[in-house]
Amino acid sequence: MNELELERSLRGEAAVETEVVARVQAAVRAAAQSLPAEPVPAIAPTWRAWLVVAACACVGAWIAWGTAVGQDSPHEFAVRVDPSAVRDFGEPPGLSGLMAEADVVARVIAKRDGRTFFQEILRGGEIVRADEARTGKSLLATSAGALADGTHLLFLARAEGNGAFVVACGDRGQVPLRNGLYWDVFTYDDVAAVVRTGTLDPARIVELLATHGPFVLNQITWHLQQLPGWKMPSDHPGFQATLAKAFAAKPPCTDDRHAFLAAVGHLHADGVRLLSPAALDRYRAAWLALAPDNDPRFLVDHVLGPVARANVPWARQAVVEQLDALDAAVAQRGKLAIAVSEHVDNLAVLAAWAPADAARRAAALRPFVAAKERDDHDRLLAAMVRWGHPDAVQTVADEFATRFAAGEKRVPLGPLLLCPPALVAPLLESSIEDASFGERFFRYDPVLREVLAESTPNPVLAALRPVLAARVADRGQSFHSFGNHLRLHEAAGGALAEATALPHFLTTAFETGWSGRELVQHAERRLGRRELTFAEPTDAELRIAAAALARALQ
Amino acid sequence: MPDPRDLEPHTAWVLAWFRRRVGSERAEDLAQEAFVAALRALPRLRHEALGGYLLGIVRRLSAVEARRRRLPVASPDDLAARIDGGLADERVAAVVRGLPAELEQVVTLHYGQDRTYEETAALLGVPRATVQSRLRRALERLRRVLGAKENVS
Repeated sequence: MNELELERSLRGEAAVETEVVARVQAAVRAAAQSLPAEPVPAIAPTWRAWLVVAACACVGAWIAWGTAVGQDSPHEFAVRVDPSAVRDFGEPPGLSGLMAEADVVARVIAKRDGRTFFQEILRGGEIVRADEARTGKSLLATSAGALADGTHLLFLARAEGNGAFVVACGDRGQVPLRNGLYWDVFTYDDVAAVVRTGTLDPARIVELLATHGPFVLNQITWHLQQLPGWKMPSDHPGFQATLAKAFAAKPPCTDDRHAFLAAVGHLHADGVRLLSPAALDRYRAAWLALAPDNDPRFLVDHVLGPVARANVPWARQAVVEQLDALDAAVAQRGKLAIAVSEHVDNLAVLAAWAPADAARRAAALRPFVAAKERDDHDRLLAAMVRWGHPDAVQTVADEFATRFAAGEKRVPLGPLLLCPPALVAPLLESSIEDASFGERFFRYDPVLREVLAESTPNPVLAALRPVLAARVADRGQSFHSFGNHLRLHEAAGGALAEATALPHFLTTAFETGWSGRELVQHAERRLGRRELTFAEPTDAELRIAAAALARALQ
Repeated sequence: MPDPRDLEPHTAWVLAWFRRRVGSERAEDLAQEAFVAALRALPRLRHEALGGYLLGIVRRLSAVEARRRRLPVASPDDLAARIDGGLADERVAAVVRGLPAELEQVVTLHYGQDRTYEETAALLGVPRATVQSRLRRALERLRRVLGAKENVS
């Protein structure tokens, strides 16, 4: 052990904490404004010693008493919670209706010491359980057992100096329970809205941004990101202008890096264009301060991306410099110690003004991706196609043909569907006619998912629609293969009514667990019926889906 | 009376302290608890006592958390005896965790966060010589514990 080894070990530890450090600092700043300080005791020092002795004696006696009580009854504390005192705490305005709607309510109430909490679980308005609880995840874990059968769960918490928060709400997902300090920005009405609608109105988020400044975006994300399908409404009218204004009021600067980092991720090119020259200068100063200490993989897309896309020269130059440095590091190490998904985002920044250069870099990285990392490999292939690498189509076609012939489970179907139809349709047609085709691609392949999610029919698949319709009609295939063919048929512009084998596979769905879920999701997507969304469909729910599909087919 | 912003330079070492003991996720909550406690006490603190006061809080919270989770509280020698086959960084972190609190604090600030003797001294409200002597003692212990382990293996 020498000093260098020690330094290296501990620096590695510190490096991963930059963002967390900033988050805690921001929370403490918020707390500093909301927490009342303890009064300074106006007692002469001589008397303090006596008071300490007396307090120790009292504490000792209390501990002894508590131990004795605990021996008699380990759950004494729980039953000693006075429900009437709990009720006296009052219900938060705006949430009383929600509490009445909920089947089960877990309410957490801070004791006056601000450290310990009572937790009470109410069912039908009656307290069924009361405990001492601590903040944090332990609280949720403690309650999970008691609430396992709660179909509509509302979790409220209230602590000194903090707002209320909801951590879980039935089938609308779960908002992570964090320290209440983070919740200062939300009102009870916000919480109520999240519980009722599963999200927070974008206009309200813009309002919070205008009121609290750019850092609030990080707090909002922190709490809402686990809501199903939630994302920051940065496209909402007024969002970018408000963010630009927030930057003017609280400029991105080196002494508040986290505010800067949290906010720039939501800045779009049109928002950057609203920044004043002075604000842009501060942006650059913040970038220069951040660059040496932070991971370039994160900074290129996240920090430089918005300004580079808005055609700001220094940002474009910095993007190229960072990518050069990453390329050099890869060449030196002989391996790609980079998360390709993030790096493709970085390359996409460059592709905004130099697609050929971005495509060349993607092609150069491909040999460094391990053979088993098919997702990453195919992402690079797709990047080459999208940004017009001269060899891209041939490379993708060769890769597809080779892997298909070798019997690989995952063929690069996504990148192939990005190629010009005339060049790849014959290759794909011969593959589709192979009986194993429906089992040969993974529909969660990230590139394929992007392609299939597009609203317009895919040109390659559209050219092969009759072939796909024939495969969909084949009753001899597995449900898995049928589902895959059905998705491709739909992406080719095929209508659900054309899927003549659907009733057959609908019947099969009742006999297969996960396949049934797939079918329900399929029905939900096709029919736009939110009520068909089930996390784990039961037989009854499958029957609902089947009936809805049958109606749609009539 | 210290300003609430005076707490910020302490964030990294407090987080590192908790992270070594309870993992990243819980560390953040505990760090917040520590700072909230410090915030409440600010009016009766002197600026130079802040580092020591925070150290007291994090030790207490660590102990409470250890009891709650039944985490082992081990001496450096115990730790060295139990560490085998881990990565070098993990070994170092584990042994640093076993140092006396004052020593762990200066090691984290000086080696982990690249603070100079002067900066560390200013942050903790102690003389520069104290920082140097704590670091020397910490290194001696680390060498003894890790060196013994390396010799054995």
